[in-house]
Amino acid sequence: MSSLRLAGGRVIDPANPDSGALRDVCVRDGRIVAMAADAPADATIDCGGCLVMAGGIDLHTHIGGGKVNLARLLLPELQRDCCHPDAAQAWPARLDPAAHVTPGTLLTGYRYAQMGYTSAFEPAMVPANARHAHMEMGDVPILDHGAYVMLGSDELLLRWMAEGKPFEQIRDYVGWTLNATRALGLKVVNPGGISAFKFNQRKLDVDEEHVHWRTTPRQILHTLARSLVELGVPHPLHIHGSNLGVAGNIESTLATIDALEGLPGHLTHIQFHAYGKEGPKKFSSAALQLVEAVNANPNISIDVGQIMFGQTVTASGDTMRQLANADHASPRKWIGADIECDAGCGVVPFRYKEQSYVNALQWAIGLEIFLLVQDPWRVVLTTDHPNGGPFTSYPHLIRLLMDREFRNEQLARIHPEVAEHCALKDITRELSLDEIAIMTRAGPARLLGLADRGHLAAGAAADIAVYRQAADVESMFTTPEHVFKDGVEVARRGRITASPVGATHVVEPDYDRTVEKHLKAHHDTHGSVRFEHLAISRDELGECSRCGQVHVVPCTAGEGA
Amino acid sequence: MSEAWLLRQRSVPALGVDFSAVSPSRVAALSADEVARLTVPMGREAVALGELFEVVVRKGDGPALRIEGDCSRLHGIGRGMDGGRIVVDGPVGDYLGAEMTAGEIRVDGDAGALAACALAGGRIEIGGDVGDFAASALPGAMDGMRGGVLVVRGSAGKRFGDRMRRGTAVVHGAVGDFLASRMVAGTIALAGAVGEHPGFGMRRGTLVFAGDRPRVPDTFSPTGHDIRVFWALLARSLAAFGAPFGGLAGRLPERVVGDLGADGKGEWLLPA
Repeated sequence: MSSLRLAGGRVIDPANPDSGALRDVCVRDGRIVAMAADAPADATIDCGGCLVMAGGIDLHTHIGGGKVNLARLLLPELQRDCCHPDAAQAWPARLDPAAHVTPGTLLTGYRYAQMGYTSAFEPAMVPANARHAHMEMGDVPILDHGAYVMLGSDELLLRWMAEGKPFEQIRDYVGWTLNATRALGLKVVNPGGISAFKFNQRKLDVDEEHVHWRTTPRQILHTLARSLVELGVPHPLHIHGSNLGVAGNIESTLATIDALEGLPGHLTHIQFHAYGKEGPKKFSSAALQLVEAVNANPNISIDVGQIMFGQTVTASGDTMRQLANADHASPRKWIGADIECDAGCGVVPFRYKEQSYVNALQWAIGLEIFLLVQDPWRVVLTTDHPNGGPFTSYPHLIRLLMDREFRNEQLARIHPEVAEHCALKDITRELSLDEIAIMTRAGPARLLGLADRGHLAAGAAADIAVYRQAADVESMFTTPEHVFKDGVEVARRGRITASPVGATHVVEPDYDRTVEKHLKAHHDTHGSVRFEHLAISRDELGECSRCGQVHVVPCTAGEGA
Repeated sequence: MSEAWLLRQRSVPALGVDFSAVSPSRVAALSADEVARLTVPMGREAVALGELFEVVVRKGDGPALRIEGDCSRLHGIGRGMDGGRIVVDGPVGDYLGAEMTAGEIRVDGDAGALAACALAGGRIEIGGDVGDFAASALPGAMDGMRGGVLVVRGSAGKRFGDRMRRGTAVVHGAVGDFLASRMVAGTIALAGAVGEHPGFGMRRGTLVFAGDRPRVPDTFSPTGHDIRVFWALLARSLAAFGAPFGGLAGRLPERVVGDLGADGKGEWLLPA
């Protein structure tokens, strides 16, 4: 089979020794291999003056499932006239970069690949909508993908918790759900809150009871996190906490960390959950408190959900919070929906403004979190695409983190009160290439249990991005020289050169099958779909995802399973 | 004085063509060769104008463009136009004169969907029928037609004047369902019959029913205002749109307002 040598590049591979050294990276059969310096290769690419990194991994990006489609339907004006190759030539003024806010499946795959990203994971797959999510992700070219399935506001979990069913039965329900929906992990959104919303509660604190089921978010968090540990699922519980976007929500966030009692948890888009209520506007940064808690709790990992100024759309399962945000919709329209009493959905278009005190502070808080957390292995670079901003803004974000002078220039443009008082202005740290590589590659791979991704040791998948080293890291990270997916060159200097089908990453934890009897009983009386039709088989997953490979991420032997 | 151009169709294009880039002001500055070499998107490819049309220069008081042939696959004729004149001898596709700000378009034939949507200024006259969503908003947009004049000699489809906020639209024939839905302001006058749910979610604006009297929905209610002076002015301006709108001055209308489910300030004028 053919082999390839990427010769003489600076290899940024913080997961392995000697990161930053000049060396060759060799590829055979889609895998990275060790080859002697004088061994002949079928093709050699001179990477002198280039950085060689593993392909980027976005562990939290909304690229599939019902809400993404709803966002596209809600905002056709963002797509208008952007797709035709001659459109720019014919009428440049009508080309709207905001099309990246709600890209179609093809544009999603191409734009990610053009930036050197090779994997992207959908964080909010509703069980009832899992087929759609897999079909949509399967339609995204090039990228490896997978999804975290949502539980925590579903009728069955809350009912069983309220009825005091044994923990093991709930754990096995989680195990069945992960298998049946072909998920890679488990997500909880505003634990219990989406359900409470349907019972007319408009907020739910971590220790507040659901008016009907009498469960609290604390109990739900602990139950789900413990289930994952016992099932041996590598990715910690993916937590979209309570009170998203509310001033003073740092209390809920700290209570969420406390509720885990040391169990692993991944707090997602944490920027939206790190607000105090000090100051003249009763809205302040709680980044310092948050970072202190993250530094002190090694069981906690985070992704930031940085906001970027400009037009975007927020798409979330958190109907409760999205109803509150709907007043700020720009343009003034939104969608709220329920899906099979499994969860919820709210889609609210949004424009983040530099001169808005709140938005400017959100921007500063995100950057403060990036720059203050000590252990980069527990921080992932995200904008919660498209909620904080489109993923195409990553190169800009990386420059903000790596270049203090550039950061201060941007700081001077935002709301003056924020610029004057935020902690960000005094932070001198500039992230290194190694730290960026950890936050965008090695870290997310490790958090997801993907042993052969996110690094460049022999045996790893040959997902590689080669960047021409430049002083302006934004342009450097925007357009890599070469991007390889499983050893195949997929992009060269911003042009897509091949469009292979990506793989689906799933977990298949073992669980006690007797739970299916109870699940069937529930669905016979409460469901709109036959229980037998719910689970997606391996074969069907293949059909959904255009016959892409299925990678089963191993679960460690559970402690109690 | 600029040139005027005549485009004589060679054959009906196999696929839809986006014609929006060919505006009178753009071609006015070009030579015949350059006009023939101008490319427009057809399906997923680009095609030269010269392949679709014979390009003829005519002396005229341009910028002006005359198109002859079956143009029902030409979409976006006059889209975003900012001046000059387009005359089409034949039917046209969708988005006729959408987002136009100034100038004049005359079509001697039918028009497709979304004609005059987001129209901001100028005048569009359609000799035949027009499809759905005429004088409305671009898909997904919050604001509809916001200025200018649309005259339809034939009948109109559904959602005529959806989200309209300014300007005047006149239909000589019948209109389909959901006339003036979510209308915010502006004037629509009709001479023919109307479909189901006229004025659905109408907030403000004026509808004049010069022809058949429609059934007044329960969400509209009569007002006792004296509108004689206003009516005299409006009737005179509508009379300019042709015979069906002549003689309105002598038919002092009943006035009802709605949709009470929305703001309820939209008015229907029902001439006696």
